[in-house]
Amino acid sequence: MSATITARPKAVLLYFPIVCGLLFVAVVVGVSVGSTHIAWETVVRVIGGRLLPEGWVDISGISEAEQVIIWMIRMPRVIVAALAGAALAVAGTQMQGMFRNPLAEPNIVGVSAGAALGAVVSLVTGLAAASALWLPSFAFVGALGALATVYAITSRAGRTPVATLLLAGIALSALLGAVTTLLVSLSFVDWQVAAEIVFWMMGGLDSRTWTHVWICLPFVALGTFSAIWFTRDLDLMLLGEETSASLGVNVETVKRIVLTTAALLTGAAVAVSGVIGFVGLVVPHAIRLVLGPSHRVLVPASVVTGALFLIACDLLARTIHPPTEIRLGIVTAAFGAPFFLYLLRKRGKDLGYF
Amino acid sequence: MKQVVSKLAAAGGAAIVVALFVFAFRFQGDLPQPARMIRPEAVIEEGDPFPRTVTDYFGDQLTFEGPPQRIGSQALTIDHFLLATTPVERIVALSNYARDERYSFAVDLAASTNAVIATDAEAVVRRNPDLLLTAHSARADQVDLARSAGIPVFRLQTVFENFDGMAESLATIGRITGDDEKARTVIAELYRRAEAAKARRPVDAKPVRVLALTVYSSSYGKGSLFDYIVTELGAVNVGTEQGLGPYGQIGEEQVASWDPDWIVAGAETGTIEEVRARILAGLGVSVTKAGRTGQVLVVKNRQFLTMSHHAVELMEALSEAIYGEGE
Amino acid sequence: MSGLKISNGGMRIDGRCLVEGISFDVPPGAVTALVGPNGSGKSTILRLLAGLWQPSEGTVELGGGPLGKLSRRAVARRLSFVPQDTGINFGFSVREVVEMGRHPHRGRFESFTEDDRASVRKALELADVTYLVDRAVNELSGGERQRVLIARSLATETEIILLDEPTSNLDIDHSLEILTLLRRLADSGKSVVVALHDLNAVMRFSDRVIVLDDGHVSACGDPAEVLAEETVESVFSVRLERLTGEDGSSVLVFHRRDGGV
Repeated sequence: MSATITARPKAVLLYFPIVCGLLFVAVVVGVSVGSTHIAWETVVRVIGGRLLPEGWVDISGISEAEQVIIWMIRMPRVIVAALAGAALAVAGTQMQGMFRNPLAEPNIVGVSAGAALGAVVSLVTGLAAASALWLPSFAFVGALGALATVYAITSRAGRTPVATLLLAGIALSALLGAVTTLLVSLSFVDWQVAAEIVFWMMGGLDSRTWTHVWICLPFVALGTFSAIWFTRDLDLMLLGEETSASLGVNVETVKRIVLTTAALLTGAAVAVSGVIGFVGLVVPHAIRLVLGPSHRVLVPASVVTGALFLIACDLLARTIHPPTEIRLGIVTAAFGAPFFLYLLRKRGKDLGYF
Repeated sequence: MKQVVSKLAAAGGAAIVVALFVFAFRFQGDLPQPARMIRPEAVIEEGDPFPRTVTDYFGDQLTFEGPPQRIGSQALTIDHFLLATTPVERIVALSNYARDERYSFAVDLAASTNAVIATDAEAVVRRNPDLLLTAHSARADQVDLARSAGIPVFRLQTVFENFDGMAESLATIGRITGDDEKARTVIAELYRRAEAAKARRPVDAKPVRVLALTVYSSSYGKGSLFDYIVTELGAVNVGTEQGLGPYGQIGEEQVASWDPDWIVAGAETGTIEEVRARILAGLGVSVTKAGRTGQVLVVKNRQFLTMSHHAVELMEALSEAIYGEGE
Repeated sequence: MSGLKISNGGMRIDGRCLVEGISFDVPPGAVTALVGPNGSGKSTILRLLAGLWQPSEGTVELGGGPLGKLSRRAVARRLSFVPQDTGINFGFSVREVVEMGRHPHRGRFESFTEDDRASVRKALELADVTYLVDRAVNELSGGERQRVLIARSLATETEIILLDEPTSNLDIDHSLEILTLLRRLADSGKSVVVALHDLNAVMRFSDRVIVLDDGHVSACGDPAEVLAEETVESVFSVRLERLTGEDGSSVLVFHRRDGGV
């Protein structure tokens, strides 16, 4: 076992170049592959033409349709996948650190369930049809509302024990999930409307626009920045609350900020991609097995790995069964769960689970 | 100080959640009906030449210089309207249900088009549509995506409580596509068949009590198209009678105590007899008049579920069942 | 003066009184032992001294001012705390854990300096865990982990060290080793406050003992005097027998009150 720990610095050195390389490949493939065929040179030219100053890349001769497909359909979709994946992975990392439990995930304090309820409310009432901003706004409100409720229930005399927080979160998740299901069942007056909502709840990245990129980018940036800001505090929190407090960490403040940013990250992800499970659990976990538990490495690794994982899953979701798409939430669970079980079987012993 | 802030935050959060709940439940029952709804102008004036300006469900105005030539539809109900009124060569996209005979009444017609699946955004863009028709309930991001790709989008009411609303949407489609004449014919045919179905009712008939029963053991009450169809036939919708909203879950007990004369359900083609037998064997059903006399009507699922003018088929089947083959 | 002092300290949680009327100074260069039966308030007092809990009554002072007014970091630089061992689920290496002891001295994004490294090295040696540096902390035995946690607190280089039952998981040899280490630290001028169960260890290694009974200080002073028959017998509800060890020190033997073995 000691070999693994001494190998960690080397693993870190290798990990980032490899994952960043794969991420780049995934972005290129993600933009190049779609339900209709476009030559990859065309893809490169269109992206170049958009990103580089005018006149550097000749985009004449590329049809309007191809430009639209690459820049308005595929590009936002891939970027949203990357942002949502990064958001969920960072949120999961923070939650696992804060709860000192490698099985915690963003949903554990009810934020996903809250975000999903908010989004479904906007869908069921028809507001989501009126403007593309309603659904994300409701998702955010739901996520923060759920978090604040859990926090209010759990907090006593300025202290919030994480174990109670976890239990309250699970209970609230169940309650919010029940209300969500009730709302969906009521929308069955027209089965097509209901089917749309059910599909949305399974998570997916169809019809993503640049609006979605701009909606979630600031939150992902803020959340990641806060996770990086608190890397050492999160490391210390893993040793226990009293230890970290005695080492100079303002435990309650860190907890509040970490929970809020994790809720914002999860809210941002749900707002733009629906409910996608397993990313927040599996990605940080897998990285921890390879790179160790130190957040200094874990947080940036979560950003790139989460992005890579979700882009890859979305790629599968839209190519496995053309021209229809498999819902993204199904793909992440279908690939995430077996991978997780494999890790558990193979490396669980090293982590002291068995 | 810190505690005050955290208490305020907690109270705020709790308030938000409560507000969400209240908001959600206020809309219970009368689903997608945003306040902004504007009735599309359905009047087809004689000698109404292009360019025509039409206002959609959300109040967006579209002006058509001439009849659109490459029309896409994103919802099954609109597929039905469009396939019934517009020549197939002008249809470039249909919903993924249009070619599925479990849901679609126009499988052959849909297959004879060159239409791509409307949820496949790339394929739709490739077909360069000059009009995309979509449901009023379609997510705004889907609409935005089409618009950002330069496709004009028109949103239509697709959930109806009666044939009039349906006729209005049909007429609107006709007015946009320029196929007014065809739309008028379809509407006239809808009302003609509805009248014929109603005419089967013997003058002295006592009101028959009819209950809808879905595979999910739910029923349709006040505000549903089913309710309209039953009421139009001079029968009583048991769901409405018992205070059910447009759609609601019911149990064996309710079925038994409500004691309907007739039960209507939907089933996949080929399993109709099987489903009928299963319903009759149901404990709740077996003690009702419908169960004792075998008055269970099982129609094809698509007839049971459709929100298009094909719903008149359910009306005809029901009329035949409860009032007999007639003269 | 170590500058750490509790005056008339009391702690209530949900109306339940944990400790009350606690007053004592922590002497510098000495080992102060807290003893008492389970639930008598040893851990509570340590938490109050460490500033983890705010006393509901009375004050805790550090360096002449109320401890509660200082920032957590300022407290952490002067006082380190080793809580009761609860195990660690995450696979940090021993080196990483001991390096965390430097946290209060480092700026948020400051890198590890030569000073930090020297402190860590010294702490590893003092606690005799240098040979463990590349092991995962969640795979260590209880005794090893306890010494790593002490090394972590040594790495902070504080003048005051508080420990909650540091020997509870250890075998005889390692527990003697830890106690000797605490003795050495005190002799080098640090103030050590330690909650202990083993009264014989208290007799041998501490300079001062505070006996707690149901949230109150029942006796306080030199161990040889304080751990007299009456005090121990009334506080712990046992019968005490005093023997003399081969080096002339006294050894306590306890018997159940009802005479059973």
